[in-house]
Amino acid sequence: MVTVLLIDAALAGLLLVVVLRARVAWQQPRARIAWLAAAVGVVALLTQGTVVPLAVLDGALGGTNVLKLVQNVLTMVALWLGVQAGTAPVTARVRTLRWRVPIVLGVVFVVVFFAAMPDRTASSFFFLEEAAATSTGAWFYGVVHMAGIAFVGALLCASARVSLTRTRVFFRLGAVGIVAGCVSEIVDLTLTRFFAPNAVVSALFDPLFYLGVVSFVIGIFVASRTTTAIHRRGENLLARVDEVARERGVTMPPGLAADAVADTRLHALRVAIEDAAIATSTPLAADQRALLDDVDAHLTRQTSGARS
Amino acid sequence: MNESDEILTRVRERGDAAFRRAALTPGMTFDDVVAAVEKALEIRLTIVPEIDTAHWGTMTGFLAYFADRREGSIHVRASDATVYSQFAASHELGHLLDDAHCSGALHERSAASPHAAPGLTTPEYEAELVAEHVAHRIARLLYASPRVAESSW
Repeated sequence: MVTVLLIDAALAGLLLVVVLRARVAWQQPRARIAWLAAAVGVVALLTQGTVVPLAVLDGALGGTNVLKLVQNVLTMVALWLGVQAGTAPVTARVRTLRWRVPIVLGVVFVVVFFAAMPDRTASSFFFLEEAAATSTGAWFYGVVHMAGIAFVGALLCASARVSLTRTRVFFRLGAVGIVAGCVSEIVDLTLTRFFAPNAVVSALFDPLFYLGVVSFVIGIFVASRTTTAIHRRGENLLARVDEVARERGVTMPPGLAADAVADTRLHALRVAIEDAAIATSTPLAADQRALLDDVDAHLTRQTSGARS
Repeated sequence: MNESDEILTRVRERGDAAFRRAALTPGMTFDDVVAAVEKALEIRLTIVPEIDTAHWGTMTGFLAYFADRREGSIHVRASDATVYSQFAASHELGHLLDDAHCSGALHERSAASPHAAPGLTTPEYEAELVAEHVAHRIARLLYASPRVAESSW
C-alpha cells in the first residue's frame, strides 16, 4: 500500500511537470530535454501497474515480465535525460544529444535480461525479487540493472553542481535517494539469493527511490519559479532604467535591435546613462547610482557553477 | 536608404566581421574575451585600471598599441563600475579587431557620442561606431547569453 502511494506520488509529480512545463517546452527547444526526461519518467512509472493493471501492460508484451525490462530501460533513459537537461550546452537539442551511454546501458540490460533469465514466470510486481530467491541469473540481472541506474543517478547528483543555487539541494537529495535506493536493492537481492532475506533492507528501496524522485520534482518546480523570478527582476529593472533614461534625456544607442532581449537592452541603456552623465558632467543621483549597481548585479549574476 | 542608414549598415557589417575574428563563445568571462582577442590577433594585451583620471574629461578609456612589439595596453578608469569599464575596454578591443593592420594608432573612447564630435574625419567617425558596435556585441555575449541553469528546467 505504502509502495503504491509512493509510486503514485512520484507519478503525479512528474505528470504535473509534463503538463505545466509543456508550454515552455513548446516555445524553448532547450527546455524540451528536461520535459522529455519527465515524460519518459511518467511512462516508466506507469509500467509499475499502479494505474493500468500490470497484467494488461505486460500481457501486451507476452506476459513474461518483459515489462520489467522496459521499465528499467525507461527509468535509466529518464534519469540520463535529466543529467543532460542540467549539463548539456545551452544550444543542445534532444536530437543533438550523444546517446552512447544510454544505448550501451540499454543493450547490456537487454542482453543480460534474456541471457540470464530465459525462463520467466507470469506477470508479477515482485517478479525479480521472487526470482532472485532461487535464480542466480535473476540476481545477476537485478544487480546489473540497479548498478546501471545507480551509475546514472551518480551522474545526476554530479550534474546538480551546475543547477540554480536554490534547487541544488533538492536535486542532490533526489539523486542521493535514487542511488541509495539502488544500492539497498543490490544488497537486498544479494541477501535474498545467497544469505537470509532481511525485511528492513527489503523495505528500503521504495521510500529511498520514490522519495528521491519526489525531491527531484520539487527541485524542478523551484527551478522554474526561480528562473521566472530572475526574468521578472530583469524586466522590472529595465522599466526603472528606462524611466531614469527618460528623466535624463538619454536614448537607446542607434542600431540596437528593438527585439533584443531584456538583458541586452538593460546593458545598452545602463551604459548610455553613464556615458551621458560623464559627457555632460551631471553625476548620477544616489538612487540612480544604486539602480545601476542593481542592474550590474543582475547582469553579472552567477546562477550556477557554470555557464555555457 | 539614406546616408545615415547606409553608414549604419556598413558599420554593422564591419563590426560583425571584426567580432567574428575573435571566435568568441557564450560562457566566456571578460578575461576570456581578452585572451581570445590576443590569440586571434597574435598580440599581447594588458588592461590597466588608471587611478589618476581627474584630467580625463569625457575619456573613458584608451588604447596604446605598439605594432612592432605586437603589444598593447588598454587603459580604463579604476573608479568606474566594472561593467562600464569593461565596456570601455571592449570598445578598444573592437578597434583592434577592426583594424586589420593594427596600424598602431592611438584610440580613445569618449563618453560623448561620436555623432557629437565634429573633430572626427568620416573614417574616424565610422571606426568609432564600429568599435562601439563590437563592444555591444561583446557585452551581449558576456551578460545576455542564455544561462544553462536558467534554460534547463
